[in-house]
Amino acid sequence: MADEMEDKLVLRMRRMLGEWLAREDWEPRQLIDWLQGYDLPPVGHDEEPYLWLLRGLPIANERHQAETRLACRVAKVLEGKPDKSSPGTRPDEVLYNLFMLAAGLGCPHQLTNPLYEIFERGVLKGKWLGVDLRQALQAALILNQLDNRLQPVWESMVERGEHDFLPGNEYDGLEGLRLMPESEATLGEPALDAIGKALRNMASHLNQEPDRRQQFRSLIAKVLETYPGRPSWNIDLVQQADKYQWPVWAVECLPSLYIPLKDQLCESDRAMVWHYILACVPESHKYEVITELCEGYVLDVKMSEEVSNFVQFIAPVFEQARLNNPYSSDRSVIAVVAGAMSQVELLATIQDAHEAITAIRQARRRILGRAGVEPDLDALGEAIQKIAEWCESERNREYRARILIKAAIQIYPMLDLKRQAKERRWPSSAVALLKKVA
Amino acid sequence: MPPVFGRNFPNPHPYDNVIATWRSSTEPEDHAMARNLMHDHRVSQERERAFDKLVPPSPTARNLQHAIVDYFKTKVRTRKLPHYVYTALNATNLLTGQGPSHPVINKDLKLVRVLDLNRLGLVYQWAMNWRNKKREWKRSFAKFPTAPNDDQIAKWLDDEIGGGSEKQQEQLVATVLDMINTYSPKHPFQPTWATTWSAFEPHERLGPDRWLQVLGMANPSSRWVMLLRYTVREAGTIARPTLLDAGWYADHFPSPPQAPLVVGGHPMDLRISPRATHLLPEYIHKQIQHSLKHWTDIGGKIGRTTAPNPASLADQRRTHHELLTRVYGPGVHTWMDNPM
Repeated sequence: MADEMEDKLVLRMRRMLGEWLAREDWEPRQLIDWLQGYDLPPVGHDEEPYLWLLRGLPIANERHQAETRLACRVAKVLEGKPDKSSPGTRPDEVLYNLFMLAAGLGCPHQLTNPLYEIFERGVLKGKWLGVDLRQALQAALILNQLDNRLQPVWESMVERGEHDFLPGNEYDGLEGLRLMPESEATLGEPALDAIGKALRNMASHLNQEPDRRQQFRSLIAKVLETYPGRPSWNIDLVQQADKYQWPVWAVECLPSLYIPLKDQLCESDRAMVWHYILACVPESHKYEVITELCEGYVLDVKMSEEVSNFVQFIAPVFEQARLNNPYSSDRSVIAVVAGAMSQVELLATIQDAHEAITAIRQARRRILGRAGVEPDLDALGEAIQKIAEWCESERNREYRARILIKAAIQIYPMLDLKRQAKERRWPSSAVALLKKVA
Repeated sequence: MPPVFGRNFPNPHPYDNVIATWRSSTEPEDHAMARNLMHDHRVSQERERAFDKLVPPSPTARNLQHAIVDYFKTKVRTRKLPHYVYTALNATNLLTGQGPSHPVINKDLKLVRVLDLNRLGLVYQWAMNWRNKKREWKRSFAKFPTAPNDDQIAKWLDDEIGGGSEKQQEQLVATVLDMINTYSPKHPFQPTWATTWSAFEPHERLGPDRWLQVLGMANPSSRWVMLLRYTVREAGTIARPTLLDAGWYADHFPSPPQAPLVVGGHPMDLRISPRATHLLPEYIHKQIQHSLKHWTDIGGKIGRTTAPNPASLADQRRTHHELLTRVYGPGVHTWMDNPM
């Protein structure tokens, strides 16, 4: 039954590779032949031999041992200086497949050193079907890192978009750093500082891109997916953003800007919070800023239980709005925040939280005013008064006037027309119209 | 002694020992390769001579396998003008585009091919190099894996196609076609296998698993495939394939001498139950430039296959052999008495 779930040629490949791996008297020649398509089952030529060798590895519990054994043999071939000796009938094909096999195996204990020696010799050249062999070596180096010896290489790619020998760009450099341990002792753990610095440089590269937020979020997501389940990720990223002075838009791409520190520091009333969220906290509610991070855009705060509950209540609205913002500009964030504040105000209104409503309105006016997008409410009120008076002479204008007034109220919920009507002494017909709209 | 390329001369033939070795193997694929070598009459004497240059005298099975691989890689796949387009080597298999004579088949006849997106790992990798990369490709390839293996390419395609809207799918298809169009003139990857749209159309609605089965394309793992339709005119020189154009590939099955040249070859249907009742034509041509229209004109057909085909190669070959016999008569048995 199990065999029916596998391709027949894959099963044959497994038998063949298994028999060869079990032999003690193996020769590098056989591996080289396989890597140029010789002696494989009749699998066709649409795919490169290294893929068939990887398919030939057993699954489940036998895989690790087979991978290690094959990696040792790949290492042996690499130690034979194939970059200088040009093995096989088609050396470029052999080398491409050899490096890609090494990359697919990802066994740094066996492969880091021989791959690094080839890198250090710096004589590798050639292409297989258009793919630069150094690109294949680069893939093998990225996926077989035992320590941080290649950090300067990856950093050069991230910073300059190139390297003197390897053909990588900034994305390849980030790949290298994403998968690089700081040392053999920390294998399997992210090199936080290197990643934080690289992400800052990536943000610089992406700065002018129209979809910079989406691109940057996806880079962060890839880093996070590499080391899943790490509880401190959100804090680590904020600290890296602070340490390496990420631009504000990049900070706004972080997966969380409301990070309760309960789990990490056992302080239930402490959190890292986006400053816009804290701006909505009523003045009578107290909190203490312990540290300003990312130029004050994120605050490490100690809060009373009341503030903590309030922030916890409103933060998801802000987080959702921020993470769904598809636009690249800074002004788009203002719009997103103002929108979130309107939603939060609505929630506060439902709960009759008058102090919160006032605080949220003030905060919104502040950020809109600072961004230069706050409307002149008095002028707007005056215009609406004129519209109301204009439709007094002709009843059929009333419908259009009602639509205009309604739209103004919806766009600017802070527009207090009732107050303005009273202060400006609107004519009774205009007040009547206002009542109808309300 | 057994025939070689459907001919009984010279007798004995230098490949006799190889055929005997493959026929005594316990692996069904070796039997299939032996039979194909014995009966593929479509390999002309001129082509056989060109192939023989890569075969040492008195070859072993290993030598001949190496020669088949070498011939395919050096004389077919990587050549701008692969051997099969030359009249001097392959006159008996050429249908159109080989000279001033009237084409055998209508030049506006619609052809269709299946493009397997999972198999383009090397092209993607080429495109990832910043020296080759176009700005338009950047977005689609932002998450492409560093070392593309089966799982990683599958995951990337699942994310890009499976998780995307129709517009995103179209964008990825446009990107892939642009990439292939840019890659192929510099780095030929021959041949392209095709059938006629009219023969394929009844199978189209049965979905991607069936697309691959009916065209004899084995798939070791689940993959994303799409259909491209174009005309004979666009394809240029069209030829009937031979085993030398398939290389070291056991799912190829030669067509019998009774089959007229116009139908090309016949792909072996990998599904054995229910059995196929019709044979599809099979042609090869050089890579061509594909436009998005080739995909959208038939409604943008793209899909993911599910599982490898469970049927055994021996059963598949017997079933195909029986269908050939039903269509072309008992003469098929005279040509090939046993498919295994």
